[in-house]
Amino acid sequence: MKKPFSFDKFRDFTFLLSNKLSIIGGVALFCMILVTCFDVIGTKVFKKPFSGSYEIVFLAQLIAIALSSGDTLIYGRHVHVEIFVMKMPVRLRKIVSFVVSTLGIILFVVVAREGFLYSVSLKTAQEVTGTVKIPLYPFAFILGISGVIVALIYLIKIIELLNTKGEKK
Amino acid sequence: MTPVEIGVLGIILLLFLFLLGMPVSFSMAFIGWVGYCYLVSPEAGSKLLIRDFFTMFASYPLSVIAAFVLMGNYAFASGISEKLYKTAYDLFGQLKGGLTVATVVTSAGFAAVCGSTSATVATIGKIALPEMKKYKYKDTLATGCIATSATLGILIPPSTIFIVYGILTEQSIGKLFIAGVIPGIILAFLLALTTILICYIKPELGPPGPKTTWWQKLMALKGVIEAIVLFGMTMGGLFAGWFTPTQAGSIGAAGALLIGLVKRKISWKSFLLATKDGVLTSCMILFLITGATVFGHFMAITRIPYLLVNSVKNLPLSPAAILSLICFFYIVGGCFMDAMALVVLTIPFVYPIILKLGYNPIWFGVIIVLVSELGVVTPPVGVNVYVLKGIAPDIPLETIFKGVMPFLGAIILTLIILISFPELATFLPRYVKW
Repeated sequence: MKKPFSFDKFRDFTFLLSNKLSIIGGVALFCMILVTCFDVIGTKVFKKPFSGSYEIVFLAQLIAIALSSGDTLIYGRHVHVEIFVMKMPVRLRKIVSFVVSTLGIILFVVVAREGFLYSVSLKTAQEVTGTVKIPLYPFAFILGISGVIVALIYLIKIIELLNTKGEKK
Repeated sequence: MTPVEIGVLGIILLLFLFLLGMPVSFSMAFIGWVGYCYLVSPEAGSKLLIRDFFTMFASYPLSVIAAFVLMGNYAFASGISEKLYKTAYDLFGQLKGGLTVATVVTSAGFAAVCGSTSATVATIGKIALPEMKKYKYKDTLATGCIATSATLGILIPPSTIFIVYGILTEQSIGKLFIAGVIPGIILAFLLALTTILICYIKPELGPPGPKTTWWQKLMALKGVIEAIVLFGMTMGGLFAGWFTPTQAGSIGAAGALLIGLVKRKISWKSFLLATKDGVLTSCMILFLITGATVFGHFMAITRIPYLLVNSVKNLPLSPAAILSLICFFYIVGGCFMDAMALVVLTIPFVYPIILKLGYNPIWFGVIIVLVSELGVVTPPVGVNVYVLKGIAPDIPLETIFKGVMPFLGAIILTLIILISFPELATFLPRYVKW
């Protein structure tokens, strides 16, 4: 028998995925620091710079930022002006939250779509970095994935809003 | 509709999205994308959006942000702040209001290894508030002093606001950092003076702490060694031209981590927490810059920034009056919006005006940071106050805001001094290479 769609499972899976991706993002960020330190020590002490450190740093940063974008939204770390929304009646606040989430979905669906398309165009053009020739298309793909995750989180917000339709709080 | 009208409509819609509570970065990216699609073509708008995201996320100059954010997080996890407070406590604790002076000194010291006000207030608040409560300091004085002293976090280098301002205006981050040193010392001195004056007028607000001998005071100075080493290594290397800003931040992060490991202060758990917090903070800042970039491209094709510069230039006002108006705008704006977001959003418009008026961009960077400091402690959106409230849930918000008020005078006085004597900010940058 086919199991019915479970929103809770979908939400838990998305949040878990976002968490795991942000862990990868944290590892990428830490690698960025390590590579820069190795490069400094190599250049200043051994007169041997870490080849490609410049490229590894900016690509690691892209991984870190793109993959942690979901958790940044979940943890409410993005700067937003909440003073006016907090003063709104609950019903109006829900409508506002619905509108904001919808706009968020539109924005990040475009980011996801264009990220994947950009990845394809980079692969076709065989674009690589200057020194160590790292292909760039996987990184545009990662950007696309980040768009999907953020859009999914906004979708979960909308479903939660619709599910709590009858509640007063 | 003309491009200018579309641009004005875009700005109005952007403010409307802010009021709806949409993240500032997403609002800027959304309006920038829609506006560009409307004025050029949907295809060009979507391509611009993804190129801006890709270029900003994979920008080497922006990696300096994550490096210094991690440095601050690891410095906190390494217990550097606790040692600084212990030193300041032994040196000044026995004076009337001495614990508040110790708080100011610790905040200034911690600001030298951390570039964020909210991180500074969270760190110093956790250490200083219990001590001040123990010695019966009044909540207004204690919390007001902690919240305001923490603003030194963005004035004394390293500073996230200086980094973002430097990137947006293509100014040297090293020069901006060193430009904040003298104003930072002046502000720290004025804040300490404010607490002493308050306790002189009303001694019951800040009774003296326990007495310490000269030997204890001398020995306490050992507590600042780690912070001095870390500051000297990163800022010294940066100012001397040995490191790029990203390298300085990375060396600082690795150094803070190493100190924590050697002193056995950093556990696996605290390391993971500090790294996770670092990646989320960096993500928030980079999204802000990316959103502003998309919005900036939309504004550029409307020609609004260009027209704005010309209109302001033709106003029958002196440059000083225009500067005062800009400062006033930032102070009011800072009451409603986070300092970083306000800087990112407005610099593309304000910076060309400042250049046209002939002001020094490094000096203006310090002015921007000072007016931003007012924003982080004034109602209704005083971020520092809310962070402190999170640490001390039993103290009402009104008490903290009331406590902040006497200290605002110190920030305003520093601002006046800096406007009157710009050399205080422009003197040291002449000797910096990066």
